[in-house]
Amino acid sequence: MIQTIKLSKVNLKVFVDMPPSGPVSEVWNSDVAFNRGGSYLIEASSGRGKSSLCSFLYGLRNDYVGEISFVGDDGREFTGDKCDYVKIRQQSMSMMFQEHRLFPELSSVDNVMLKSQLTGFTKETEVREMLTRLGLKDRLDTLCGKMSYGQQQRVAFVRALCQPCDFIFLDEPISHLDEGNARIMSEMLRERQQKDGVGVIVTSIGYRLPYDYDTVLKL
Amino acid sequence: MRLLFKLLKQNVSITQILGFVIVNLIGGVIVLFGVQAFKDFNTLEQSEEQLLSKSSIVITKSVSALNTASGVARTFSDSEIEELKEFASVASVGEFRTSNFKVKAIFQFDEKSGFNTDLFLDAVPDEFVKNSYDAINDENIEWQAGVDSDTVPLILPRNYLNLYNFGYAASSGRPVVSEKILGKFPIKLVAKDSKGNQKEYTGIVCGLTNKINTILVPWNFVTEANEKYSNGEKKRPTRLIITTDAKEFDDSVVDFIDEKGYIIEGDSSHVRLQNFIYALLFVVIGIGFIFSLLAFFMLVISIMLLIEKNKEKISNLYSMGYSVGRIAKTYQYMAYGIDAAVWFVAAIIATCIYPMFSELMASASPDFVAASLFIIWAVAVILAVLFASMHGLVVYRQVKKICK
Repeated sequence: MIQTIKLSKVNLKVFVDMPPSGPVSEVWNSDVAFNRGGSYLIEASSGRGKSSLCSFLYGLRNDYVGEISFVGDDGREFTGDKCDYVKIRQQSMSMMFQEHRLFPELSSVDNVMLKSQLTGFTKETEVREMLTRLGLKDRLDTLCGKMSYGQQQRVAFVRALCQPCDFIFLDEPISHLDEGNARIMSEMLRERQQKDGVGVIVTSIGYRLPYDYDTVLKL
Repeated sequence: MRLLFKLLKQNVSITQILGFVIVNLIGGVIVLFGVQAFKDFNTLEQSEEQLLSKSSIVITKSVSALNTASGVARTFSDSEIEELKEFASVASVGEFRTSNFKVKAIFQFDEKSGFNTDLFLDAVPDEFVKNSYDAINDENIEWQAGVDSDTVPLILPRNYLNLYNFGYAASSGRPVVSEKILGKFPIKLVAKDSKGNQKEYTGIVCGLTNKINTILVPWNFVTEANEKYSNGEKKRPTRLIITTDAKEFDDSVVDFIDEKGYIIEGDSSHVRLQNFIYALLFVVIGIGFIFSLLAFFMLVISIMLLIEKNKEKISNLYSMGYSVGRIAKTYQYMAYGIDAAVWFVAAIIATCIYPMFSELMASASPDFVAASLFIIWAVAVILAVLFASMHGLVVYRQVKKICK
């Protein structure tokens, strides 16, 4: 179980190469810690590296300088380059990608189940209930390729909830959603946080997911 | 797994897989057929010639009209024997010793029927026979006899048996005799000297050979009998037995013998024919294997293309938490299934068509026993496992390349 994610002077390599030595923000080139159970909002304008930060934390990219480390519940600390990210992605960190990464040839339920069956965390009936709650009742068995961007966003959100984890990353989760769906989404997120004590890290370019954030960071 | 398969089977090209299946089936059937034929031919070769192994041949000098006119047999001189001994791949040279007295053989099938004939006996030094003789002699009759013995072990030319089976037995309605039960029919041998003294021996057939056209008995028997039934005069050999260090004679020895004007006794073309058949079988198996190899690479390319087409899906699955192994498993199972199915069908086809070939072999050689087709299935399983493992490895590496 991961208790804390630490960022120590992390910066994009591409920023570092820029004169004089890249931007400094509350996240980039700083020391930041995300704790399990906490809720964080990372705000930035477009092009400031929100998705890159998520990818670094999630182990999909390593073109950064500085150090990302994880502190386990036994107090042991291990750095990002020595992690079994497959295990971390299955058990400790869940990600809702900005570009969703859904499979257009699978239905919304199948897209979520594809993730859920990795760990057996959520049953199909629960998945259907969650999607229904987000207004997708008549889209449960529709191929994702035939759904609107906003509908896909909701499917991607449900998928992010259907796995065991210590942290959930939501990369611009409501960019194409109305207020009603955004509110339901935040309710579902809060329920999950209260139930399992997960850490929530949300990014936004201005249109915030309504949530009680402990910390708001400017990127 | 169902969802994963549903997702990753997208873009599977049925045409490419069908191409692989057809080419691999052709190659597989040829390989399996060739391997079974090779095994059967090899077994037949070994069973046909165990007494005087492939590493020995018998040579004589050709008989010319001049020899016939002069009545002088063409014998080997000491220098000619030495020359043969010095040839690099010749290990040893043995002289034939022939009986110089009258011998009558009586073949008695039952009380009413049988026949007799005058003949002569031959002997080669025992070391040329003994090793393989001991190994194949079920009756434990020693390759040993003296002039005072009552029984004499014999090695007959295989032609004699064929002559009986396909000539005498066929025309007189008598049952054919297989090599294995030949030893149960003793042959009466009567040796006689010029003064009319004679002794009867019981000859027991202990083996057959293609390499000698006369009846072979132990060296000691001929030596002692020559002294007892003739004047004991030693004649120069007209035939020699040659062995090589190699497993079998190569063409260079045969060429050398041809060059010297000697003749290989028995089936003189046997060595070349045997080498030709082996070479032919190797070519057949090789062609089949090339087909299979082509098919193997066709499937490799097909899988690589499929993985490349599904690159984004694989990358997304990996980012969702799927391991390389788990993603690869979908394609690996696909490849395993195709490989197993193709080799299974190839083995079935080979099993169905092989009996036609074995019937042909059996009609050409009475001692051919259709071997179990186990070898077809064993080779099919081995090649299927080999191909599948290699396909599995290719899949894993290709998926891993995407999941960096």
